Amino acid sequence: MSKSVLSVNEVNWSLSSVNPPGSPPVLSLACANAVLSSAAHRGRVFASLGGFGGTPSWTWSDAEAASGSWQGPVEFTNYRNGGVLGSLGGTSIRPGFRPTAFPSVSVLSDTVAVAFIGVDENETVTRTSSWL
Amino acid sequence: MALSLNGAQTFLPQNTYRITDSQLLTLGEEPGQFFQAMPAVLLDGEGGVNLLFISHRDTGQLTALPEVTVRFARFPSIASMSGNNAAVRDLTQPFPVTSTFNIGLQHNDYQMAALEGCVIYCAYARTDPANPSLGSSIFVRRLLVGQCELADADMNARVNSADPVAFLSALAAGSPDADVNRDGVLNAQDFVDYTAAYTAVAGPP
Repeated sequence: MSKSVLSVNEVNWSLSSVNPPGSPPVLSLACANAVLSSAAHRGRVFASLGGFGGTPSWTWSDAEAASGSWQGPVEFTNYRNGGVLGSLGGTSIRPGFRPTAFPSVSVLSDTVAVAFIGVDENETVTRTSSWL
Repeated sequence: MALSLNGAQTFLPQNTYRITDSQLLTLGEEPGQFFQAMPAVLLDGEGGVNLLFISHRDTGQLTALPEVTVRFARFPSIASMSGNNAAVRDLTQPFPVTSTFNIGLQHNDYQMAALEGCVIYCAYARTDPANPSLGSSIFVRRLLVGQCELADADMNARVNSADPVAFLSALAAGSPDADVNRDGVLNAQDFVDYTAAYTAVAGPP
């Protein structure tokens, strides 16, 4: 039995798998990186899709930044190969709803869905919302 | 911007959807602010997008301990997510978070969902609204979605031989429960649609 190890320097991850008939198993992974400070909670969510049918092949994407729908201050930080990062937090989160970058991932056939929470910082009152 | 790891190729096309207030309003929610947290997503075999998350209505009392519900929402498909067509239901009555049971970063709870056919099991923890200081307990809810939901004519969260009987009884009585396609009319198409749903789940009735 062979094994492969994928190492990611992230936190709060979830994993889903699908086994298409006649094809190698496909795994999907979502993980988040939260940068905390006294002023803001920020982070980003990444998703990946990979297969184990020989040499593992993983593809990564910033689940938020590519959408263009995230308004408000977007934090640009060099990350690995240079990612565009979306803010995942604000400063007006009440107790019990401090932002948490805890993504969930599900894969079905050729579709990968990643759910996570975030804040639309254009809003007067910062609220956490669910995104997909 | 897509990232690359281990020389992998370009990632998939993607879209991001916000789970909006208006989508929740379609099922009787009151207008107002909301807080959502800890979403779990599950794609089902019919292409449905199922979400399980914590929902909190903003009471405007910033110092009060929030009362939240565990909310389930299902969109028929990813392509339908821009419309107001999510089926939404609270799985719990409102319950308070406490200093020992909280939700979010550096706190301790979240929800999970698992799929078996068109049955979804939702696991979550909550406090007892009557005695929140006693701590939290874990619960599992069994939900039927898609064809299973249509086939469950007696609405007992099980699909078995009693369901066609219940459907025919409802149809004969002119009950809206027999309006399977939700077009406001009871006719032969409802019988066809019900039979197809039941057959897909349990075989020919």
